[in-house]
Amino acid sequence: MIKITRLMLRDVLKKYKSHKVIDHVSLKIEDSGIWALVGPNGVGKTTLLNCICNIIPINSGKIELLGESNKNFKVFEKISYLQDNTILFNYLTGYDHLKYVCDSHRLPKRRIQEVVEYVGMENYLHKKVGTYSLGMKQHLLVAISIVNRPKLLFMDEPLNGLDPSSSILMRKILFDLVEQGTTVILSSHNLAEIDRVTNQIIFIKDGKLIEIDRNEYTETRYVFKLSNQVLANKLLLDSGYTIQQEKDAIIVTIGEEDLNDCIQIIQNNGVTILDLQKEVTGSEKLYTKFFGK
Amino acid sequence: MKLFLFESKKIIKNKTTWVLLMLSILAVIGIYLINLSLANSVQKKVTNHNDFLIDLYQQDQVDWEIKKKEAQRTKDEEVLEEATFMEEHARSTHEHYLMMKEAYQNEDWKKIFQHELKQLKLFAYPPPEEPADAYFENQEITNFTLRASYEEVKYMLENDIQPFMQNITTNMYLPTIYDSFSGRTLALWQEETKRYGREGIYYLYQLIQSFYIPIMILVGCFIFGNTFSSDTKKNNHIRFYQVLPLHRTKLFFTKYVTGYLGLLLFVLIMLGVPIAVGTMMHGFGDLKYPILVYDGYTTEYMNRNIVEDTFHFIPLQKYLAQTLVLAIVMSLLIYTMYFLVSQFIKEPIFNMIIVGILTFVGTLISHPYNPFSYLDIDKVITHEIQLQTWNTDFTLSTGIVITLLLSFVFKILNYIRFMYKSI
Repeated sequence: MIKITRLMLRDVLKKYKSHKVIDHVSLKIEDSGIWALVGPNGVGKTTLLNCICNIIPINSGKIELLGESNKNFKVFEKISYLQDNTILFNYLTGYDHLKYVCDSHRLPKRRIQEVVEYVGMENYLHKKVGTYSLGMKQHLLVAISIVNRPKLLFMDEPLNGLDPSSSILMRKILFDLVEQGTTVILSSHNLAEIDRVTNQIIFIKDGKLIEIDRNEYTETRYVFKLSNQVLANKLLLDSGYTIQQEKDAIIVTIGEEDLNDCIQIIQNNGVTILDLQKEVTGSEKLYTKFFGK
Repeated sequence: MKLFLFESKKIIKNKTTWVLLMLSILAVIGIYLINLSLANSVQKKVTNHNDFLIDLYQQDQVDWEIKKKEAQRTKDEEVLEEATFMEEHARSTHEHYLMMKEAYQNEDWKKIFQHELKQLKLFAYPPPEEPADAYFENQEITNFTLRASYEEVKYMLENDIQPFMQNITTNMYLPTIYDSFSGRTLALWQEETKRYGREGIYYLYQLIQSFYIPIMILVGCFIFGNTFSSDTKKNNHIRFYQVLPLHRTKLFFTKYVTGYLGLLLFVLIMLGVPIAVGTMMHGFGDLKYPILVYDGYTTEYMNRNIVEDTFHFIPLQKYLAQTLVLAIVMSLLIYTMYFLVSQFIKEPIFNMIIVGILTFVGTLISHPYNPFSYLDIDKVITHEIQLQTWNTDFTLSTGIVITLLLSFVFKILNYIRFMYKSI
């Protein structure tokens, strides 16, 4: 079976006057999954996404989406780009937007209803976008971007302005999309959210892209609240675990596979576990490594 | 088609469209009310003048009656004869003005026209043996104007046409380009001959003579010509389309056509509003109303000849049809120019000012191949522009062709800019 490259950048250059925002960058993504584009403000994340989607022209290089040039407007039949909410028309309703996008993709009307229910925006679908909150606008943008069941989805700061329930919904949508075989490339500042959705990170720095597999940098820690913290501390140290003592808890740095053994040691010695929390760190550490504090 | 419907929906659902449309309609209604009050004041002035003359000749009649009785008493035959004649003259004049007042109040135009014809014929076509010159405030009224005035009244009498409201305390003169008044007399002449359209199509005709259509086209551009600039101004609406399976050419033409159709509809509405408001207040008017068209020069040196130069009348219906055609073509030119400017400047108000200035400057350069020379639609249709510029190449068909050609060039420039410039 021939595998179509989802995204291919070859020696892409984008500069404003003499400033190279994207400096001869190459990138190839062939599989479905989520990739996070990370970098500080103004580093060129949105510019890169805009270049990829041919919204702004590049100075040199080549960009292919699903095996076709990004200049071919037909690629957007299978590709979506979730942009910021300034693209929305305040005097139109969410329905107006979705109806037109559906028409452009030659999709049946019922697809609007499906997406609306999926995103949970039934209550305000027929209200004018001007009356929407930030989160509601984000929901509409998500609905617009998934209505055509994209094979490749770009998302510019999709987690901005979302309340906790919306964040949960967004994560669900992302995982559903990946399950359906979509490749998602999202830019975000929210490192904690990135940690929850992907291990595949692309840092953008000085116009260059650095692709990282966060698995290599991931650190899993478990925070134990115990009935006898002093005894547990001694037991774990004697067993060779790396621990960190907090005021009310002990933090043990171990992999998932060692958790059961650790719990056994504690419980077999008569210490009760009052509470247990998992903490995964990685992006933040990596971010600090690349961009400093 | 779906993109066109979406673009139309954007225009329709935008509050600004409706606010500006309502303001434009209110402005036209407001101008009509001012016009109506001026027309009423002219009407009042004419009635007062008639009243004054009625009183004057009544008093004259009484005075001569007293003199006549005195002459009968003193048996002064000479005075008696004069007093009898003068009393009779005063009585008949008094009755004439009573009749004129009644006719004017009842808008019995036939009687007024008949009276005017008698007066005007003496000067318009005087017998060769009795040459007669007409004067206004000691300055001569040209024979061309007198002939045009006479023929106009005759046309209206023959076709039973209701005239515009005009000060007829002197005569129902029709001002023409052949007039050569100066100083205070010119101002008085303009005031005396100013016509006020109270009826629907008459009011529209009056507006057309005052650059109404170019102004409305500019306002229409301001409302409907921003299909592109509004999407690239503060917001990035254009990016909404850029990530859809939509060719840029299709996007360009849909935006261009949607805006133009919106503008065209606006111009048609704004042509309909004066007709509607006038009709509601004073009736529709007469489509056969005569519009003076100059036939041009009779001399090969293109000098105006006030005696030999000829003219003819076209019915208002034909004038309005020609106006409509020119308005459609002109709106295409100004809209295309506005659209081009809006691709560089995103603020509609600046675009309107720039296009307004360019259009105005364009009108200053009179040339048959300058489409802006045809913006004064009234002068084009009546051929006044030919007489003003000593150039008979200014014709309606030339204007249409030249305007369409320049519109096409602007459209191509628009397309190139849209396709090859980064948004």
